[in-house]
Amino acid sequence: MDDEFYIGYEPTMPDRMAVRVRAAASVLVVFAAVLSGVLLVAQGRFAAATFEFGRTRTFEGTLVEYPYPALLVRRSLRNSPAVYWLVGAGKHGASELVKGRDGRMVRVSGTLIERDDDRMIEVSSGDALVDVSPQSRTPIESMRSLSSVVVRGEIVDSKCHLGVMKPGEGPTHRDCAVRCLLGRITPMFVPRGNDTGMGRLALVGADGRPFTEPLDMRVGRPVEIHGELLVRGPLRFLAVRIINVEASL
Amino acid sequence: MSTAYRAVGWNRQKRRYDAVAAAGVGVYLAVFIGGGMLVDPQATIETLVIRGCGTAAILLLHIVLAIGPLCRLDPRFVPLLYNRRHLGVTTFVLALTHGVFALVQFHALGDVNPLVSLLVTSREYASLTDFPFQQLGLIALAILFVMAATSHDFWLRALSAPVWKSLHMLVYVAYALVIAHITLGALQAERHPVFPFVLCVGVAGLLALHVQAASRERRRDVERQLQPARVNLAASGFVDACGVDEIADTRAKTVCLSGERVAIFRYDGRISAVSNVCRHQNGPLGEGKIVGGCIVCPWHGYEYEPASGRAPAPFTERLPTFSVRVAGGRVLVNPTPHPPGTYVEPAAFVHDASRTRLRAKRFGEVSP
Repeated sequence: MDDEFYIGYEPTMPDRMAVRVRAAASVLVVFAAVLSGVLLVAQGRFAAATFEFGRTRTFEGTLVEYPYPALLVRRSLRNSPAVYWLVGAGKHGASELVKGRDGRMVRVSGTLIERDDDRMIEVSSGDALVDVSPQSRTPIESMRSLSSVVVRGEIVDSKCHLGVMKPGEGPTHRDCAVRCLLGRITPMFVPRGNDTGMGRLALVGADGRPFTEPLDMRVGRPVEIHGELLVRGPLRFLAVRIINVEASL
Repeated sequence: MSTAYRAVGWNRQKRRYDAVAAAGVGVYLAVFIGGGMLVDPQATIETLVIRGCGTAAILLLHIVLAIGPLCRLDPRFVPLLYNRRHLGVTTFVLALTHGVFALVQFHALGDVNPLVSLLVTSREYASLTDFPFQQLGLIALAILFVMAATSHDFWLRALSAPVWKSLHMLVYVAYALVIAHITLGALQAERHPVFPFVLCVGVAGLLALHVQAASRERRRDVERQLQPARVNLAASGFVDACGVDEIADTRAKTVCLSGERVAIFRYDGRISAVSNVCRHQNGPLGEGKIVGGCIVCPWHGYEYEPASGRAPAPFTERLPTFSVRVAGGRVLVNPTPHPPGTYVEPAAFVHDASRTRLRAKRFGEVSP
């Protein structure tokens, strides 16, 4: 009669048992590889975005302080300047670094963050921002309204969304986005589709000032915003009047 | 425990077991993280690590929880049970890696301490869609940590077996929290149907295994319950348990007496009866074997002397024993157990070779 009996501390396993255990172990390892591959392929694609971590570049342009820090870099006389939003290190904005320097010509050293046509520079300290011509200021046109809109999409923190984190949006990223917005990183609206034809928009209040309402309840969720499209030179904004959170499940 | 009565540390089989486990985890992570970087050049390593370690931990947790019921359903799975705790510790390490990376990624470098951020940023406890799922993961990780930290048998002795076992049953609480963590978190972001499908298969599979194993145990208990017609009170409270020939040499037959499972062992022309429940982790002693004069538990090799129910020195575990007699080829057992470790004179029997040959002929067994 077959009387197989084995305890794990014995040095050798009965032959038949060893064959079965080897087969089971092989099946499990192969299953692990297959499942891993399936889950890998099924997950969503990562955004085509860049965060040049560890690499410092220098940019020269006109500093914008209001409503959110940005650098207008003129590449040629014919084209309008390119917009580089400015942000601090970690989950912090750059408002303190640019205070009182609106319209100044500056040289900024920082790390480039880029996604599609939107760009951002992470500035680590005030030393990275140097006045090129301290005495002169370039006036930047005032905010003007284009139209009223109703748009659907998601509110994100600009830094993570533009490339520092992937994904930088959605429910799993929500806590990080809240912390970033509380650190005064520029809030941004990412439209679903191309309702406005203007791509991503920085969020401001109905009066065009920096958005101050707590956004933690509405970040990382599908929302519908009733608002107004505003521009200030090459800068684009969505002034918020009403935010409705859409059902997500 | 070993048949040589020494504490068992690392050995060849344990190293092989761990090597296979490490290979499985290594292959999983290599495919997910390495493959992820190749398949999508835009992928970030930290996100792949978070997802890879998280999903690997969940897979391993399913395997850990499946081993128990599988062993009850089919003894051929018992070799997987011996080092199951190593798989449990590995699950914790993977979950910890996932948790640390996620904590740093989503909560560090902000305006508050990362752990504080984890606890206070999301507080929509009344909402299903906005429930702070990360906190569920944190609680599950804490449970897994406690289990990993107390996985050594030192803690089993220090806490006592019942307390230790109860503590480690918290793995089911951790499992429920992990499922909720995934359902309320990642499944809201990942839209491909394969994710909820795989999760449902895992949960349903585990549930089915546990239900099947429990059902089978209940059926066995009913079968083991002695029929009233067989009860023979002629010998001062003893009951007729089984025939001597129904027990293979060095093996046991398990019966139910007064709601308790009793393992009746046959060895060296003698019969002894002890509680079926191993003092280590409640293993089924009746499925064990007499080796070197001791009952050896099939799960982790704990040993007990059959006549006294005592573990050999220096070990101190003790089993309740039962008085036994043999009459007319039948084993009679007194259902009232003796205190653990009580010596009971084994009942001797005369082996009837002709009856053994007749039984072998009837059932097609090979005669010795």
